[in-house]
Amino acid sequence: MVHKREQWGTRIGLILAVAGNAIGLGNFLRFPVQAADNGGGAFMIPYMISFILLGIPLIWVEWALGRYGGERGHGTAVAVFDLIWRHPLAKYIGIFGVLIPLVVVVYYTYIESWTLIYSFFHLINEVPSTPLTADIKDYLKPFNDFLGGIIGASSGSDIFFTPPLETYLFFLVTLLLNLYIIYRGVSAGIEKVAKFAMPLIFIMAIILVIRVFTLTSPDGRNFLDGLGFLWNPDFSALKDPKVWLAAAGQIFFTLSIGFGAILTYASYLKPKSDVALNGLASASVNEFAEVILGGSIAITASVIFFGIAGTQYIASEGAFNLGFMALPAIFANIPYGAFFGFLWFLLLFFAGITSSIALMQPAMAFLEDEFGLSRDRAVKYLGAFLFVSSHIPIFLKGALDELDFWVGTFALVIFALFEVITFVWILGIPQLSEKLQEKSLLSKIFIVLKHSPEYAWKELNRYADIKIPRIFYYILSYIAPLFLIVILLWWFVTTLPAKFIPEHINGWIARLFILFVFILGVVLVKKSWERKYGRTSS
Amino acid sequence: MEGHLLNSYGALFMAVSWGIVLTLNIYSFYKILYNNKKNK
Repeated sequence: MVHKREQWGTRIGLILAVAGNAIGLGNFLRFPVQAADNGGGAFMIPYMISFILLGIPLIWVEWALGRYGGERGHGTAVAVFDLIWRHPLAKYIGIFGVLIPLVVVVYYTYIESWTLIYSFFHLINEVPSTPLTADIKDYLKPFNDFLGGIIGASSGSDIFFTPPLETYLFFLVTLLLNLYIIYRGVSAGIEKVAKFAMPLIFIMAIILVIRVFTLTSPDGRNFLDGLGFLWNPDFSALKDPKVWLAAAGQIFFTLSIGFGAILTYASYLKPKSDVALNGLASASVNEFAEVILGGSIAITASVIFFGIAGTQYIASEGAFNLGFMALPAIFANIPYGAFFGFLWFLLLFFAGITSSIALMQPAMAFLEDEFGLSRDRAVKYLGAFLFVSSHIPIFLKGALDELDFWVGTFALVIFALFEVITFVWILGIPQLSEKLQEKSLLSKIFIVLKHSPEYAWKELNRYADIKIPRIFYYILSYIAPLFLIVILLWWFVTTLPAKFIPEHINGWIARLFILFVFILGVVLVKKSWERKYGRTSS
Repeated sequence: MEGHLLNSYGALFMAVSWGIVLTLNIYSFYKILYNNKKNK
């Protein structure tokens, strides 16, 4: 069944929506912690190199794949891989581009609801208030207990969280709000929200930066100490491969590469649309939010109030502790702190919701494009799945971390590698069929590696509003895939062995859930293809 | 007092990084506006 696909209303709306997808909690919470932990200013050298060698090329790949699919009536990697590979297995690999964002949004929406709770409690001034004492652990304890109370961590059970009713209600409000935006559609829902939320995010962030830059601690520290902690370089860190991988990882997460969400957004482009300039603009907006705004709020404020050792202690306990414990603790001790706390968490909420709606859209596109479902029916199915599945991270201790590691971290690097291989090395194969005839396997591989990227380059530059420098041809074709392979190998060696056996039964439950979602995805793809092309095609 | 004031290297790194990000934003949005105007 061919149905009329939606389109973006305006170019600026599209760029804000894609930038909104990328700008999330990570820009304001993860980036400053990563930078400060990995050599401060020196971290920015590998970070900027990764942005150019990995970030921009991969963003272009997702945009170009999305436009390619959209022109053929499809908005997910399932159909795009099938169209390009022309192999029965391709669509099952492409399903990662639907399942990764779907599983991530299961726990992301829940975390997003915490920011709404915090924002609300700051608005009614119902957050802890403690005088600044010398011992940081004692000072932060009420804020730690507050967070523990919200997520229900203080029940004494090793297996279950017991969140209070208001946490559950705020989660339901957040989920329903997300689903309503998705239900309104691409232009009337997602684009409208992006046009409203993105300027607000920037205004709120600038107000907070100004407030942080005018803070001084009782013992005389000011914003220059905070900026010094973040930016003063430690050149010895450059020799450490971990720093380079941390920088590459941060670029990956901040630009939302490998989720499949950019691909879906780009599939709603109008005919004859550029992807080169759109991709660069959306990446640039994200970097503005991360490097300039994200780097100037949480860590700077924390260094001013708690000093370097205190900030390192807070950051070492997790990226969330800086945003959910240290900042409320600081706001509790400044004039109009409740107002600034409200702004901070509302900023995080808007950053979160513009990302979560993007993560939901690939599943919507899959149900609409491949099953021909109406939008309201697709929203009902998606809503039911998300409501039921969300109980895993809400109630099971450790499940959120397990889902985040396997799906929100590991799977996206693998999927990004498939995306780049599909676009750079497989897209051009049909045009090389004459050259490939009667050649040995080794010769075929050599011909594909040498000539296929030329077709990807043409596809990327089709209708382009900027001339992409030729050096990116080589970066896209060879350096970016190699970079991804190095990241994966490094993780296989350093991180995976310690993660094979989960510490907890809930880790196994989370893994079973991932397996269940994957099987469900495979069955749905198989049914959809049988429905469209008959049994032989699957 | 524990301090770690922004030093000249830090200021340089910050200025270069902010400069790259701002330049990319200005360039891409200038191009978008230019193309929009041209298409009209």
